[in-house]
Amino acid sequence: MIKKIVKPASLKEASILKDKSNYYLSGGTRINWAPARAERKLQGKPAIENVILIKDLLPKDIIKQGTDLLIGAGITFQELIDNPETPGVLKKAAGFIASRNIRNMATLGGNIAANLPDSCIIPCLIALKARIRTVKIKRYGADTENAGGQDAHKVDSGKTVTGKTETVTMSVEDYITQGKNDLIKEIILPRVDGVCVIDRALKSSAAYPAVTAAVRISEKDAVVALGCVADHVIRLKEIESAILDNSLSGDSLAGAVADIINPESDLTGSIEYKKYISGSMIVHLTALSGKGA
Amino acid sequence: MKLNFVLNNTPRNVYTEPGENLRELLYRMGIHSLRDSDDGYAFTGSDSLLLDGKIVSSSLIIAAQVQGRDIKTVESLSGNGMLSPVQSAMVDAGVVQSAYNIPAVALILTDLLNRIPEPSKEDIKDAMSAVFIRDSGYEQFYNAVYLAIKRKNDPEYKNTLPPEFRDDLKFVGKVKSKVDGAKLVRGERLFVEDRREQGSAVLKMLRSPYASAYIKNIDITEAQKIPGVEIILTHKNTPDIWYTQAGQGFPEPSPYDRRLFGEKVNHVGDRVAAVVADTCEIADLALTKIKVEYEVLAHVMTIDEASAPGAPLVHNGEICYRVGGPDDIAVRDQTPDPVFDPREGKIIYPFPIGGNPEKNIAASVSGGIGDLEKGFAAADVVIEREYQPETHVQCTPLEKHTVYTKMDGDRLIMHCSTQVPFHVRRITASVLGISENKIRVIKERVGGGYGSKQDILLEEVCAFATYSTGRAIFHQYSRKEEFESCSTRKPMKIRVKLGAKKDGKLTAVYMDVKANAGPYGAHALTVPMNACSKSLPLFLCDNFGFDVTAYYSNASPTGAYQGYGAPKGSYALQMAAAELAEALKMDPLKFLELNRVHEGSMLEILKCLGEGREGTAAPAESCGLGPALEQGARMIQWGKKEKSDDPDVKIGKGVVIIQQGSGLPGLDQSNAMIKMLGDGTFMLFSGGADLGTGLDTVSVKMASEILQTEMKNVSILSGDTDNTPFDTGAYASSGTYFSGSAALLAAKDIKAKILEAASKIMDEPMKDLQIQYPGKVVGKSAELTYAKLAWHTQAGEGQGQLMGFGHFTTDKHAFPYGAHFAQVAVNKRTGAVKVQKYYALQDAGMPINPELAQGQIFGGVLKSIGHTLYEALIYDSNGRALNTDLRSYGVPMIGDVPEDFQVKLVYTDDPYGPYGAKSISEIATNGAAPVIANAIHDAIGIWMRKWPFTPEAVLRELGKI
Repeated sequence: MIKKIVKPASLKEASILKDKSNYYLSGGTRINWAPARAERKLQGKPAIENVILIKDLLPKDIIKQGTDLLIGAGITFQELIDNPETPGVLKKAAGFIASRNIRNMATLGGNIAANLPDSCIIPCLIALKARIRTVKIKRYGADTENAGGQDAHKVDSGKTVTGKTETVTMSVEDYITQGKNDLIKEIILPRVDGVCVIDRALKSSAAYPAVTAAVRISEKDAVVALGCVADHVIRLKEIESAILDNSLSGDSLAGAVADIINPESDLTGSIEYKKYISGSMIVHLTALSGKGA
Repeated sequence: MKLNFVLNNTPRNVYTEPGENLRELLYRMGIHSLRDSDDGYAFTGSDSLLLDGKIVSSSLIIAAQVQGRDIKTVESLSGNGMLSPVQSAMVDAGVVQSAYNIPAVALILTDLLNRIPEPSKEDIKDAMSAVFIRDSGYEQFYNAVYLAIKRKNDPEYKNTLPPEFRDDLKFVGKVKSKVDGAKLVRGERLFVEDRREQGSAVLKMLRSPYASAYIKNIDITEAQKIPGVEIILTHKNTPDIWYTQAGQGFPEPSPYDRRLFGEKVNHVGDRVAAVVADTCEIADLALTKIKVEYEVLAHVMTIDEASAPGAPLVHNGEICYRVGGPDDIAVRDQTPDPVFDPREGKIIYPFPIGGNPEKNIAASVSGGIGDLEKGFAAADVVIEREYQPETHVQCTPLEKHTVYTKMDGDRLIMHCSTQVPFHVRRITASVLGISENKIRVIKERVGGGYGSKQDILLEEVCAFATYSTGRAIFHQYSRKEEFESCSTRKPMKIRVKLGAKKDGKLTAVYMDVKANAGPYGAHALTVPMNACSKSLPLFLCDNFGFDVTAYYSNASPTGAYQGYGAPKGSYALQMAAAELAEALKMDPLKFLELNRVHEGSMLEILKCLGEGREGTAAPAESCGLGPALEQGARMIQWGKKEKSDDPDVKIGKGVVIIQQGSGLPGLDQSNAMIKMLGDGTFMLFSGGADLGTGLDTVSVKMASEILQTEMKNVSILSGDTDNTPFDTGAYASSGTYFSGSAALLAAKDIKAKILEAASKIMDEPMKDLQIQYPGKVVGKSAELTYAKLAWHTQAGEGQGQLMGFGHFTTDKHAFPYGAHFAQVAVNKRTGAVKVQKYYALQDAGMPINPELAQGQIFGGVLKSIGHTLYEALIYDSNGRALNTDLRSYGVPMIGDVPEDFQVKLVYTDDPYGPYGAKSISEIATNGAAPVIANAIHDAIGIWMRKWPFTPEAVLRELGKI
């Protein structure tokens, strides 16, 4: 059970307060979710007892900035769907969360930070070449009992942190593959060529997906991202090259996708099924994207 | 921490732990509309509230997150006992049935209409996307929303969508508000959990991690030392009394093969010990301190494993018979007694049901009529197929199994969420070794049962603990326990052999049903038997045969589930019929028409299909199959081949016929009483157990119709063993036919007494008197209102309070029938099956509550669509179920509802049912599996002979993986 909650006044303070013993809490659909707590227990991880409330600190608007679209990390999935600025494919991906209740709570930043292998939105963001802007504190040295100055910040333990907050921009792909956990402030969607298409395979409308996928193909580049087949969403760069140079298509493309991935058998389906459906889905999405669906 | 927020427009300041769950905090503050159906998984919507104007799941919120925010719950919708337009629309649209999460839905739909005053179907679907409805499906919620829109401007606007029947009747067959609808939709304190009092203890169960093991040693010393632990129950301190958990008529056709706690555990999740403690936290801690040493044994999970020669035996102890015995009992009696391991316990059969636990056989039976061999020899075409509906599917009631027990002097009071209050009393009395007059069972509102609450799964443990300690004790299953330790539908393997002449006329029909009974034999004989008895009589043939065998295994427990064995029997037989039609090159609809039962057909097969007793041939007195098939064929445009725009997608159609029974003639019994009150209104006492299906409303309608008084003038108390007369319970589709008939007879009885009393008062002969609406006796010269009659009869010189009694038993059958049609789109690339159209045309005789009847059919069909396409417990090699939550198990949500989903009530007038009524809901679960399988075959040419038809299974059948 969560025992200690702090509510910082700014993102800067939030990033200062962050250490290994506490967690950011935005929408709460993951941290407060009973199965996630059970999973931690099963993995031998200690229960989350300290959280930093960040919901009110995060931007949640969608702003056009040049050719980019800046999306506040605190935007909920439902707000993403309701906002006229949101690209259609991203609305569709957000809608893959079946429950409106959850869409009203879960935030875009929180979903990326959770870095779940079956995320409905990360494949789409990768295909859209999305970047994220994070906020973190760069400490000057060890926390001290006494320190002063502009960059000194007193924390709950009574100690003082000296350091500077810095903003880092990186791709969503890098964030998830490098296992980062820095505080996500906003998501940047650049203008990209080609049509991004997404799909997923599941047994019923609210089931856990067996595979999630996104494909975007243009004359210059191709992105193929796949979820549920590794411990985080992956990008299939070899497949992208083969699609671009037309060296693979149809059955050979499906076979190559199946060969390149190493999914595990679980409640959503067997290894053979996941390999088959991943291949089939990428072929299908490639055709749709190519047609400019 | 101190917390400030606005709750339902009132500022509130509370002290709370910062991490306290918001739902729990609000429940503690008196907001009882927020329920927890799934232990914080937030999948069912029962915990929904408005936070700053947005619908969210309160289980996912900690108290600290709502500091300074605005919260609204359903309690904000209705003041002064009035319902909001949305709430009244929901009641009248028929969606308020078991209603555990219905208050949350009222809030969700109110939010929808505030956001979008005239929502589209997609908008409604989106709003309902967080809600799991198991009882009535989802279809009628669209009507509820449209009705609510109308009622915003016109509060009296009538629901005109459901059909009404019999113009000569005022209440029966008419759309009337469900009698408990208002209090359910308001979220009042109606469920067992709401009865829990301060200071009561909780009971938590330690469950087996092994599928089969002896408990070598169990040490509770450390656990018992924990302050706040009241008692710990194990096999060492509980009675050595053997019983069945099946809530069936006594003597039960189920083996007595379990005790409160055994020395051998027979499935993962079996009882090992129970801790009674002051709080959940203390009980949980105590559970971790109980040291158990197991001797792990080999286990069997499937029918094949259990029936294999030399298979490990699930029960290898002494076998006894109360009455009779197997054919070789004499030989057995002469052989020396074998030495049993005492840890195995024993099995007591109340009477022989073909059990042979030495071969893992819990029960078996064979039978037939005519000459099968001759019948097959006479056939031009014979097919033989095996079908494997071998999955464990779970009832998944929204309200988990719950009980609250306490003492009242020397009497035990049990608040139960049960379908069978009188069986709970009887079985508890036998386990505790006390007489029935020392126990009172009160059936509270039941938040869904579907058969799983026909069995006594936790009540007797809690009762024993209360009786031992004097403490009031609350016990509620977790959702995981619902999956591991409740009752699933029995998995089956069914071999069907059919023979027919070239013209399609059946010459012989044979079914071999093998069932997986699980670790204990509750319903072991009757469920698989039902697979035959509710499918074979659909066809007319001179030669029928069947063999039924139920095997013990170490898989999850099994028992009753809406439809009983019929959905699996129907799947096998109806699919085989379609396969035979194909072999005959015959249209499947024509095949069904040629061979089906008709009104008046004598069903000789019933002679050998008694439910644990001798059967008798009986006629199908009413049968609406003809019009159902005709109308359904027209609706779906039978014979017209549909084409998809997507080259990967193929479209196909299917048709099946189905049936069920109406209670168990010769076995069931219902009773009811009614008394006239001082102002001429009535109090009706029914033994029947309303599970949310509307049985109380049926009973009130019976009385109102007979007595010609408004339904508001008849109040009802039901399912209370102290205050209502005996009823076998709500199972086997008995509610309307049995309990409804008892209410009807009670009303007729008091009507006779009213006329007799009025005759004296009015000084007119009885033959000249009539009961007339609204609630008066009219003679040739005068009339007497019920109020005046009550005054006369209950005054100092009156003849005494007028009371009526109704007792209903029968040997007459009233079979409900139905024809289900489906159109599916199968994606050959992905294996996905989409049910585009589903038409359920059902003959329920005269539907007493048309809107509720439709809802139950929608719900039954949707359940079975789930069972067919994706629902299934998945086990690891150690016998542990892996998907013990609703989402990973897979239940149908609103996004899974067929695009065009229609229910048609086909009117027939059954001579035996009350006002011609027959049963309604169980039958609805029998059609989806075979009709979808047959439609898939029509689309892509494969026969799906195994459940579930997941995309992966379809792809395998297509040879793609």
